Amino acid sequence: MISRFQISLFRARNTFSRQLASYSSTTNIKNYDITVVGGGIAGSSLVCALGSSALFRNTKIALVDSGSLTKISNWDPPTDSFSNRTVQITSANQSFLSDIGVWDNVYKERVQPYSKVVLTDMLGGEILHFNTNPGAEFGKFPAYLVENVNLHQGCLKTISEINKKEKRIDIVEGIKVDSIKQGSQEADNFSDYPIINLSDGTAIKTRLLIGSDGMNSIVKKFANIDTYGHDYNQFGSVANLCFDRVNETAYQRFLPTGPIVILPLPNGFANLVWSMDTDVYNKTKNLSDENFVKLVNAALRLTSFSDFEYLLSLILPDGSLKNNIDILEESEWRIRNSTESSGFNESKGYSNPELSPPKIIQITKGSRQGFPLKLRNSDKYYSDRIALVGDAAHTMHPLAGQGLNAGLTDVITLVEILGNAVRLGIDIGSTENVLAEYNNKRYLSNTAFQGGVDKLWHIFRSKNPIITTARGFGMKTLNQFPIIKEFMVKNAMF
Amino acid sequence: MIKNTTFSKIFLSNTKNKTCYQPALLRSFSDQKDPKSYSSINHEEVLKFSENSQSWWDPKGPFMPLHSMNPSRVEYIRNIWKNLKYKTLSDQDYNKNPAPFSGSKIVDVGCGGGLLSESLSRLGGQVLGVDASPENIGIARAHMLLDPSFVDGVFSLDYIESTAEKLVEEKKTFDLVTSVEVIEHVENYHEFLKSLADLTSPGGLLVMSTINRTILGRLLCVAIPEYLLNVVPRGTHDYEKFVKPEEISRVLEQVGLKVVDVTGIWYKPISNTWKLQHRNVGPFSDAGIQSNYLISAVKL
Ligand SMILES: Cc1cc2nc3c(=O)[nH]c(=O)nc-3n(C[C@H](O)[C@H](O)[C@H](O)COP(=O)(O)OP(=O)(O)OC[C@H]3O[C@@H](n4cnc5c(N)ncnc54)[C@H](O)[C@@H]3O)c2cc1C
Repeated sequence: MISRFQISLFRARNTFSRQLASYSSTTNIKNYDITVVGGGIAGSSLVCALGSSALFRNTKIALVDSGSLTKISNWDPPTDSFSNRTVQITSANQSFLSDIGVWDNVYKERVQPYSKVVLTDMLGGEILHFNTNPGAEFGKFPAYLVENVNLHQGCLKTISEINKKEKRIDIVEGIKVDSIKQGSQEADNFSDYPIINLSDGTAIKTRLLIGSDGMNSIVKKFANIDTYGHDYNQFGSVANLCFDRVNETAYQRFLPTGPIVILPLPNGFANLVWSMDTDVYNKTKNLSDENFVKLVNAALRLTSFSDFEYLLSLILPDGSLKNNIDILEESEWRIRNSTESSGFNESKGYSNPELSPPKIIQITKGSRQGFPLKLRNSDKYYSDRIALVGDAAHTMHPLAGQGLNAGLTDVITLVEILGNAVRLGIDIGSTENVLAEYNNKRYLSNTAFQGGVDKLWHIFRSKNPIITTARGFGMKTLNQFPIIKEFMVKNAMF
Repeated sequence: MIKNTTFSKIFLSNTKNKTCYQPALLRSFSDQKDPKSYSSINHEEVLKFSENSQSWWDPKGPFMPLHSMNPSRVEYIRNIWKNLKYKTLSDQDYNKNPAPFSGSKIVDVGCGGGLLSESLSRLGGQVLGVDASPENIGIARAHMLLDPSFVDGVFSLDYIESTAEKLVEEKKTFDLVTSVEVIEHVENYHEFLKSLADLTSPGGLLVMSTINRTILGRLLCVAIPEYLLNVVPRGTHDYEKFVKPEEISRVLEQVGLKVVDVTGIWYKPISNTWKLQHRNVGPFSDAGIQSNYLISAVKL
């Protein structure tokens, strides 16, 4: 068997002198040690981590994004509303963001730390509540709710700060990656370094290419890494809401049509992530904001799924309501007359009034948006001189709010392995010493997590009475086992 | 597998008419000296390694344990170097230095395919790799050319087919002299150590790694890898040539070097990694260095 090395050596000998000439004379090919394609939160926090560590001071770094990063960096936060895209950051990831300087550049008055989560089940009727740190000081909360854009601009500001001190990172923005080719696929190249062709006609040759270019990653495509997964046939309906009072608790409720999650923001604002089956989504998307708010309030309180289905049946395709029925009146009547026993019907209240969610009174204009929900994983997170992080590597159901947290953990792991390689004089693009190790550390854990979230999704959408009873029992049991709850809180798994 | 001869042919025919490193390669083949002029070189041993040289850089090939050992060796050298040159710096700050060897002249004697040489060069050293085997030097050079940073001179790395003795004749000295897994293959280790000592500049550091002449050394470095696991070609090691740390110490002290550290290094087959192990394990003195070990000496 001829080893790959022999082949590349053979090639090296044939083409070396020619390559050397083109290597130094071609002006539109730039060379970098690390090229990060995709400056979303995963990619830009990765660059911050590299740029803020002295270990990488001799490493040439480029960040490429097709969008305008400058625009995000100059984000002017509105004073009367919040963005509809938010992420829950676990405290471990928050520490990382602090360490690399990003947290300092996040608008803190727009961040809601919270430690209290109330979980309910429309069918199982049980209430699970978390409150690990009553009275914890700021900085010790298990989770933080941040607007994506707030975190994103924080990353980009940190990059500018790093570059102001000492130019460490070249930013290529507003320019798309058109194609990527790799030496090993081309007889004309003596090395296996990826060459990235950009939409402005220039090219980058890089020792290590990191794909953080999101769910439809072009890097993954060119690296021939296969994707598998499934669509949930669900949409994530997001919106920015306003409560009737200040609130610092997160509410999650399992409906057979998908979980509804309301996450707290400062000043009585909240973010809605409501996963719903496509047919439900199509029904609700044309509802007026006013009626949508009523439906959300009903979904949080109704104790019978048939009541909820009845409300849905009132919605006409154009979003208007049959016979101009008032959803609020209709649902309140049903809640009052609910015969099904459950821990939180209105007569009994949420078994403990403290656990009952405040009323939503308003929705921020234009903040309703829907995203198709998908589970995607890659066959692996690397190929020769290429690594994938964030959504480029994996996406999962937002039910656990873990998508970006998993991406940040990818970033932490990769930066640590790269730092170790630099410290020991190892080629940072090396498959054996660097990329395979990254894959080993992240692949299984992401797959297991995704699988877990996926299972949870299947369990909680079931209407089968055996499962709903078990579910109720499970939640009741969980309440008695603080250790498991603590684990869930640590991972912000609610 | 391509036979050795075929490989050499490809190797040579393809280098004809090329500029850059061709002269050095040709030199290496025409330069073969009378074996006797090199006291410490064992020519059978040189051949032994050359036969396998084409697979030097294959991390799954016969040199697999060497590949996985390299990071631990570099870690060790980095740490000893700190004690010598960066005494006042905190470990934390030192660990963030990507180029602790910057400004230092380094020679890697018996560099083979250049595993350690490349690493030390990336860490800022001006590294010269020397090996008595022309094929190893060819492999090392070819591999170096796959990395633009070496080609562009971002990192300083050069290879020559030579020996420690010859460099001594040329009156070369270095701040750091490394020679890993070499001493157990030389004909006369006393002579070899003297040459390494002469190459070390005053205040400079000499680091070697080798296998202890103990039952465990024999078992772990010869019997198991060569005969049981077949991961190292049979006959790579000759137990009788293994050297004990105290034997190395004795010779070095005669030529003005002081041994500052002896540390064991243990293979973990399941993870294919190595672990540095202090000399004494619990109450057992020298337990950690029963097999592979690293030894450092400073020239006074
Ligand atoms: C409804 C919903 C709710 C969610 N809630 C949470 C939550 O609560 N907590 C959580 O942790 N996660 C959550 N997630 C997931 C989270 O939003 C994503 O995981 C995260 O934003 C992905 O970040 P990323 O940087 O990996 O990718 P992206 O944000 O997709 O960034 C990709 C970047 O690559 C650039 N790019 C793409 N193609 C190219 C190209 N060809 N050339 C150059 N540049 C390119 C794009 O411009 C973009 O800037 C949620 C997701 C959804 C849909």
